[in-house]
Amino acid sequence: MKRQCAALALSALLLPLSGCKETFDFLPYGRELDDMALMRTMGVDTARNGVEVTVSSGAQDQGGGQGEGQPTVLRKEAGSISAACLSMQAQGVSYVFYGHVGQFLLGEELARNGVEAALDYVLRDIEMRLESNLYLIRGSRAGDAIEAAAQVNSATDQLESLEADAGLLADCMFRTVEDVMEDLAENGDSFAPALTLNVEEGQLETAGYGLLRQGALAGWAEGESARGVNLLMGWVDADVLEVEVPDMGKAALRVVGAKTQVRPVLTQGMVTGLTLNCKVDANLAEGADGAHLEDPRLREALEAALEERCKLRLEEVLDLCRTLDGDFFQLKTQAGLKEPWHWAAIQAAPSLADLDLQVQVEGRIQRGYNVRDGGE
Amino acid sequence: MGHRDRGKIPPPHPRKTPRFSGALTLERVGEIFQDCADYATRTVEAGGEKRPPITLCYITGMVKLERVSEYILRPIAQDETLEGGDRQAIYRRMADGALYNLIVEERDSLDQAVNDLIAGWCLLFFPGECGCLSFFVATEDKRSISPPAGETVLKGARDAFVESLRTNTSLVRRHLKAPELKIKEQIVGRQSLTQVDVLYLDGIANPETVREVERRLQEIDIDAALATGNLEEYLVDRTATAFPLVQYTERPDRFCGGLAEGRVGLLADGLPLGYLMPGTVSSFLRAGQDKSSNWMLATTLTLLRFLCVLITLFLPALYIAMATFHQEMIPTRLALSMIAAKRDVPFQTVYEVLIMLVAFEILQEAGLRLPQPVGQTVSIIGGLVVGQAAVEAKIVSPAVLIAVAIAGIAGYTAPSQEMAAALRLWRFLLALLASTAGLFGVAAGTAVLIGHLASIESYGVPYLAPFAGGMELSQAGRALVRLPLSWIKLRERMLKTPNRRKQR
Repeated sequence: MKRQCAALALSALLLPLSGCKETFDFLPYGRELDDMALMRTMGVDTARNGVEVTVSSGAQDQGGGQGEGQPTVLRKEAGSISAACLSMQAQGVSYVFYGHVGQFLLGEELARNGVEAALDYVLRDIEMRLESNLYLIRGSRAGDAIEAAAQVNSATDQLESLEADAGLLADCMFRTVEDVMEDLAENGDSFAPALTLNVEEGQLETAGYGLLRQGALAGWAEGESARGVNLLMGWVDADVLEVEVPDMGKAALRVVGAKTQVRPVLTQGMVTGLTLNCKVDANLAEGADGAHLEDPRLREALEAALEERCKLRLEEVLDLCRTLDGDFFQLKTQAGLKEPWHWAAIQAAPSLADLDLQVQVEGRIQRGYNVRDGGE
Repeated sequence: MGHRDRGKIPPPHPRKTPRFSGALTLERVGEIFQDCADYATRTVEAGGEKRPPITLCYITGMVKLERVSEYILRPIAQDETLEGGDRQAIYRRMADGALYNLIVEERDSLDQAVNDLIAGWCLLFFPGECGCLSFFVATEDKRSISPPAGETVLKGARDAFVESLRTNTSLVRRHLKAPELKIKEQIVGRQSLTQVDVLYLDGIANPETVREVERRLQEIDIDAALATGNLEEYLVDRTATAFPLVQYTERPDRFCGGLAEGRVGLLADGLPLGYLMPGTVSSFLRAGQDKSSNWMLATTLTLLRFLCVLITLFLPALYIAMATFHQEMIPTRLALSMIAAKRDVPFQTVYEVLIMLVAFEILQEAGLRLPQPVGQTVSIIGGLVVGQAAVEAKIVSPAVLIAVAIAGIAGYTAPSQEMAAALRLWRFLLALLASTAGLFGVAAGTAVLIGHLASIESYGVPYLAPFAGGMELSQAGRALVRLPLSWIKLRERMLKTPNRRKQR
């Protein structure tokens, strides 16, 4: 028995020498890392025959102390994203690898037609990652944005810089393909960060958020409404509010924390509205004519100004929801999670346009950056 | 050996007992030691000139000559009571203590007398007497007790076992003064007649394990028990494994710690180390220093050691799998660095890793076989100079060099070098499997490894205990976490000790 087992094992070991490649088709196919071109940014746009896919590798170290080389940008049109990606394999010596795509850009036109097909590709493709950040390119094509950025450095580098500085930028935060797909699966609506292309400088710049209604771009949230989105989501790492305090002049408040809770308003068991309770914490950054926070009048005035500004921002967001008739921020779901015993009623509630949406803001000034101000 | 060959080898030759038969006479002893340059005799006048002289025989180098002269020859020459009287009376007086030597035995069997001579006794033959007097006058020349060479001691006893069995048993007795310490002796080796002692604490060690060790020792029928392997391979349950099944230590304190835990010890004459049985995975990853260190530090180091086992075993295989099959698993920036580093390297990743693994083994082997200063030089030249040159010459990429070096160094954290060697063998196998099927290969190899380890037992104890074998979770936790010693009230369950409580 032992000899038979040994003979079988030996035969198995010698099989690779048989030349029958098909025998080992069940084994994964290996590729050397240095034979690959790692694509890191992908842009998808509509095209005459289907879609146009643009990929960029980002600036890569050439090895041997030769410094960084120019980013590789490939552009291909096909009936589907998969077909376009496959046809790109013929464009260079290296194997084009999409496993490291970290930024997924969608052109405005494609977004208006619907993003679900593009996101579905990310979901199904074995190389693409759901953790890739999703961006909507406002006012231009994603491919053009990638190519323009490649003239300066690369779209990858620019977007990575934006992501790294997310805490320092108040305009928009970042969402992954997975986040957006979850929202779309939940109620068909979602939002994604938007970028614009500064054509002259070849720079990608943040431009608020794109609002997706039933999987298609319905509008934009920018300026105060974009900051309102940040308040709603609790992303306030870099928000500085300039407020006018009566008798004390201008003051700058740095928002350091925000937590918004959504609660349903029920009348006779029916959901008739939603209330957004937002608690905002801020620090006095500068101004107020050198007054101290120990002065209760100053503190009250600052808190009132903070509440007023934040309320305005949140109301702008709710106005967008009403106007575009979309629950882009999953307000109903949030209300349902807050009061799960009303889940069925919340699900049966009419659209946001028909609900009474109220905002309540509670502002609190924690401290000033002047050491004399101290904390509470 | 194949079935065909089995018919050709001669049938087992029974051990001849007694080895030498016949009457115990000086002439017969002389015949046996014919052509032995170290065999010596000395005739001594005793009982007056008219009586035939008595003969002292011994093996030079095996006896301490001063002791022979002082305790045997001087009383014979000077003691007046040994003069006159008949030969029988003189023989009796000498046997009863007229000679000062501490140990004296009357021998009447040739076999016993010959064994005595070899063991460093000297024989005193009286003409006309049947039998002889045998005096223990063995030389005590031996290597002095020194710090252990293979097991570094930072805080603890610095004595180590030596080649003398009796010195080793005395070292154990000095650490464990309990009368319950039993030392049972057997002779192993047809030609070497090596004394092998089984040590255990009566009432603490599992009697079944003691009996099993004794049975396996009795079954050993070899020419000579000179090397450690001569005993180890006969004592273990299974030889078809690279993993060690009996633990060895040079340190008497660690050996005694094992006995106090309920393990069974084994010491062999000529071997400067002691074996502890049974051996399990956790015992091989526990360092002797652990009990001397702060419990938090010892726990951290134990966890680190387990982590290092995983690193040394899997890192090269995972590197191959990820660099060749699963590039999406590598963080993007690392992947870019690896690509940049691998440019212009002509070999595939798998060959790079295998070449480096083999080179690592060669360097290690060369370093071990050479004298220490030369060995260190070889290691430095091999590791640094050749490694650096290989990277600069684009024969291997720096990432591979780093991965293999980390895996190699992590292997050195295993307190048992035999365990480290077994891990190195499996590391090769896993690397090969990874090169064939990526992570699927690694997973398959890991499954085979776990299956293999789960199939091994050491004296009835599962090798993976306490992580497997029906042990409680707390027992497994104790293998990883070294609790404060005052909290550990019980001995390990897996050792099946009849007395589990070790402290109040």
